[in-house]
Amino acid sequence: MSTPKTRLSELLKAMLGLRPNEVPTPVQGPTNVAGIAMPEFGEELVEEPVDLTQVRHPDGRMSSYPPADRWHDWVEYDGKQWPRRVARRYTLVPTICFNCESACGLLAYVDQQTLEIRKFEGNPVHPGSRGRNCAKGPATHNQIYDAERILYPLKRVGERGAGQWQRVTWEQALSEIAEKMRESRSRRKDGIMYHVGRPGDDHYVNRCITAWGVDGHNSHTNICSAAARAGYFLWSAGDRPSPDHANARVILLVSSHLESGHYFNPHAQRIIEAQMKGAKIITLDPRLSNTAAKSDVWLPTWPGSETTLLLAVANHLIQNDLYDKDFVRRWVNWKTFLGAIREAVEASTQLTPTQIAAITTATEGEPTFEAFDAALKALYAGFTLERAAEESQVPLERIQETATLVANAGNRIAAHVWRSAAMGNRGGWQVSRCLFFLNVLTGSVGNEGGTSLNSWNKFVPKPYRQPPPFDAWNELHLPHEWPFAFYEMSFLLPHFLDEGRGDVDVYFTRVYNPMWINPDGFMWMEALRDPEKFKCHVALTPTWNESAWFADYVLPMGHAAERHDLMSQETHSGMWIGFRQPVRRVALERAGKTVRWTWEANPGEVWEENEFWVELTARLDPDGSLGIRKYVESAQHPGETISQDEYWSWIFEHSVPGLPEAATAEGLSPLAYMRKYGCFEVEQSNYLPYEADQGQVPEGSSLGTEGLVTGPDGDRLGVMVDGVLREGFKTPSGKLELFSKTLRDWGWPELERVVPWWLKSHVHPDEINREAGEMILLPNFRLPTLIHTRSANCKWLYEISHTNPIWMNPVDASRIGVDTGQLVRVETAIGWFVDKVWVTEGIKPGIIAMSHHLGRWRLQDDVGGNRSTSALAQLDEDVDGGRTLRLLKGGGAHESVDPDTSRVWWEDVGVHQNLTHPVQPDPLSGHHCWLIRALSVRKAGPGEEHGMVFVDTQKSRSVYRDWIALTRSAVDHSPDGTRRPLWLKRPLKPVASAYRLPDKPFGR
Amino acid sequence: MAHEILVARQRAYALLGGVIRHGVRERDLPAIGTVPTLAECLSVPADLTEIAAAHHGLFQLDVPPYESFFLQPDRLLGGTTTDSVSVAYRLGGFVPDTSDVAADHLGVELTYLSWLGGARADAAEDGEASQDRRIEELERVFLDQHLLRWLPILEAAIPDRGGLFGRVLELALTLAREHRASIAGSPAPWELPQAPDLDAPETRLRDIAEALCTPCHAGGLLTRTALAEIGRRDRLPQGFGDRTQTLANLFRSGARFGVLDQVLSRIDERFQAFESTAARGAPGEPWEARARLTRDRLKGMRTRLSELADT
Repeated sequence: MSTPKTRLSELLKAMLGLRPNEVPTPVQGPTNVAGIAMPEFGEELVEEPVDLTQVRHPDGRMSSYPPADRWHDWVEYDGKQWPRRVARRYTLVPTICFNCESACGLLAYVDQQTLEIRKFEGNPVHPGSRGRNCAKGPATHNQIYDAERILYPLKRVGERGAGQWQRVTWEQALSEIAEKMRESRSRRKDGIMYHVGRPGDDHYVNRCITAWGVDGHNSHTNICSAAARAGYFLWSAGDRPSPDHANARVILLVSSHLESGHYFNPHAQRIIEAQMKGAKIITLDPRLSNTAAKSDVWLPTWPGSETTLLLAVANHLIQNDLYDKDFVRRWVNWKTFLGAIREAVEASTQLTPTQIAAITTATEGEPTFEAFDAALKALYAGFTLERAAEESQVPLERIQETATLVANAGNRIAAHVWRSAAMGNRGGWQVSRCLFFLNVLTGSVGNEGGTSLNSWNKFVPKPYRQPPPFDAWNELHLPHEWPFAFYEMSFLLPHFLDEGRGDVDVYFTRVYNPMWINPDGFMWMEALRDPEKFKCHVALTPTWNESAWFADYVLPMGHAAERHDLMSQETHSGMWIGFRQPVRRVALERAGKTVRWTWEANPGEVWEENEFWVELTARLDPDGSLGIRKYVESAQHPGETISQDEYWSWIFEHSVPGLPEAATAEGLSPLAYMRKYGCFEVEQSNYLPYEADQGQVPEGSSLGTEGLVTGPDGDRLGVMVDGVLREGFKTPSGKLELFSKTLRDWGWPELERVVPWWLKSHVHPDEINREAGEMILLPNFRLPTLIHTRSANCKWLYEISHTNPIWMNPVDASRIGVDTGQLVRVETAIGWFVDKVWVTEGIKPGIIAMSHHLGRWRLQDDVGGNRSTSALAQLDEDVDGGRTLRLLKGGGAHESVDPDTSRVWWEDVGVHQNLTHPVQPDPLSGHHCWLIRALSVRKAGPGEEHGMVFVDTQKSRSVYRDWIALTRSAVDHSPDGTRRPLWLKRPLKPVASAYRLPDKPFGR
Repeated sequence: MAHEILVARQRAYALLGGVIRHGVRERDLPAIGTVPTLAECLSVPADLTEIAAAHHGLFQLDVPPYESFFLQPDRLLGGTTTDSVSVAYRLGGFVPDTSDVAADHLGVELTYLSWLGGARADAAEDGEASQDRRIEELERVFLDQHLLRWLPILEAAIPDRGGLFGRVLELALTLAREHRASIAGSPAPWELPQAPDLDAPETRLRDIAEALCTPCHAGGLLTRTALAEIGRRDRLPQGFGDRTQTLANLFRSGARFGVLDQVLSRIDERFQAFESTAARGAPGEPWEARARLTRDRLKGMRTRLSELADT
């Protein structure tokens, strides 16, 4: 028997017998990070103190920010070395946070010696965030240095979901995926799907998808903001509001914006600034959020009653002649209203004969504004403050105070709804419509202190070589049942696949965890496991997640400091762009090194999507025969793919007004300017753009009912207001549309749809049998320190928030017989879950609340999720569609390269409630209605353990069928044979001819 | 020293370092095929996918092959251990490729020795005796102060010692030991970080488990695989989770089902193995003493663990 020594002897002998091409050679640098900075022959490691750079600022509060002209070389003491004074030399590289959609500025402190990122601070020159960040910004450091992040491209080995992975090269991944895409593209234009969770980019990826010539963009919007978008869009052709909080007198929030609004940090700081100047904050929320606690008026409305309350305030303005009549006269389509409202009114059962008579009278004569005023008064007369108090279960005095504050605010009302009631209720799109009604009535539209449209404060540059619109329509994105969906019906995708509407050849999930974040996650799991439905699933993700577990390729994509993106957001009345950068790449380049691919500079082989998409697109069409390759080719180096430097140089030189001049003033190229500052302010403020004078009306132009002017060649020129051609709005009428002809013409002619009105929610008190123990589950609130499904590798954030107990009023807790910390079992239409209770008066009786962020799980202990922040779970399935998830072990301390993971002191990492939520697509906007009818809420019984989830997927299918029956298909209601009104927004619009209804609609 | 020995050693370090770092690549197969003990482990044709999965399973999930992991109580990469390894490289004129691993990865350390070996072979070929001595000194320092301080314990912890990577590690350890034996002098005494006080009244079950799971505190590495085996042998539900959690669960379930003695005995067996391994190393080896200390502690731990397991 051989010994170790004889085996070694054999090894050495074998090494001497190798042929030249077989000889292993030691591989050394240069490396991507630390190696670059190292001398080739060092004598000693010298750590002598370095003199600190002293900086004096005129503004004391900003004194801790290094000035931009020192960013290239900055020295300060290392906080971790305290109390020793160890100075470190940094190069500061600006980038943009990726942990929500606000796009706040970050400043990465890159150690010049090691090229490691030591910390993130705010970027003081960023116009939106102004040097401030919420907890999520600095936590980017956690994500980058997460011991369990995905560092290399992985390919599945064995069955899907078996948890076996093989590391592959980027080239292998690109080649194999491109081959599948090419095969799909050669057969069809709806076989490739890009499903985005967090976009974090305003045009780059969409440009690539468009170049592929497929209808490939799918989003998460229908579980997020579709309803609010629909309401705003029907008014204004803008799908998001942009409140000028800082200059408002009243800030009216339907949601908890100070703590968790869509643009949390930029908005919260401006809201508080306004409050310090005397503005009043009014918040509608059934839950005592931090925002509600900071508000001047908290209106804890019963879910679904928000529209009634908002319309009562509107009615207060209307009846008391407190609304801005001149603004309404000039900018609302009241002539259309007068001409069309009567039909809806006469068919309505919600008006009294007196109201109907008054409206009839007003609409019979000449269409004057006085007649409109009379009709308006009659129409909304029923929305009294008392009715609002009764339906909302809010004290009348608070509603009166609200009405008075709004009336006294003039035209300075900044209002916003994000998620909250709009996403909670069936008909929630009317919440934003009713909220914006108050902006319209007060003339608070696009003015200082008012509410603008997002497109006025968000700058998206013209892309490089924009491909033409594609000629395709993917039925899995926008099926005929939802012609008004904002946007793709993404959360129904597994049901669509389940009922045989189609399949997906190549499915990209991008920073998206559909199985976890969507309702009815087990249907997703069934679909993701099925190679006949998703033939190839490529998960582009910075971290492990539940969906990636079932992918075929898991491709590591960078966090905020590891990628290029250009972003702009409507954070305030100005307009800016922010440039996200791979900061170590920039630091290397500052040190004089050349980096071709961003993954060379990132940890492991973490890449960025931009370079990935370019290389993938080039391989999709290697010889250019598909007409795709040209869109990713370099203009400077024909035949080669375009580099990030070339792309962004072109954008900054050609597409951003004022940037080249600003750069020249500093002796920089536009790209160098953006690399230095990370942002650029395009406009300081942009008020009343719709009032812009458009000059003379050309001969041969035509005039619409509301003054819309169309040029001789069919171009829309603007809208005539008091004899002046103005920019107007991009609605069909050119005005703000109080009356929606589009809805009427497409099968929704009822009064409660065509004008701002109350729609009965699926959780209306009539639908909730509280006597029988039914309650409303309110799952749609954020925690300000978490990031949907991406917090789970942020130890700092999880230390702050890691549980999602059920908020329950003491009245209900007493009825059920539970106290804080005890377990309750919550039953929904498709299953049940078990969670701890937190008894609090911060929630109304009859409602339980539970944040949606938490409850991450993994099926294998050592892979598939972070061990500190996700629970190890066991999944059992029966043949009848029953799925049971049990949490075997919560989060907790563990060994890793990061010593902090051994200090994790929490175990409860929440409960994954979304699995038990049935799909509830709003029949009009398509938004998932997040409020859940809890059929029973009772003390947990024996064997019902914390975190346990059960779902019957047969019931999932049944509920899906119930809701789809509420839709009104374009097949039955399209006035012109198209699938969707052409003027409605889509993230990527196809050619007009693609809108033609299909010859064989599914189910017909 | 004979030139051919230097060349053979240089190539062997390069081969073993590359396989430990990257797994087996297509281009490695000819060289591996010439080494009998490794060639036996390869199927015909070699299934590189399975090997990649095994490599990932061993080095990514079970046994982190980093000096920091074994020698630092916090097991954090990028700290003082990594820095000191980087300094050693610099002194040797070696620029490591740390594009996907830290500088103190076993594969990089072996590659460094290959780099030095190549330089030494060149020096020998050119008759540069002073250069040869200088490089030999660098080798000695690196073997004494880095590689041989932790590689024996890593090698002893490998679950599947007969498998391809187990054999690779055995070869690497034998090579390093023989290499060191060829250089004059003995290693200077060194110490492991002080082990935590587990007798303190505030000590929790978890603290004990954590100390036993921290290599430089315990004197060896309890891998996940080892813990799973301990649980299986007594049919104990060890739960799931990180090693500390798993061990704490084993203590709890052992106490609950009356087999805590068996659990402690099996853990003792593991540390006995580490103690013997360490004893075979250089004189002054602190791992041996640390493993012995752990074994002593285990003997007196039963009552305490029983109490803590109920809390």
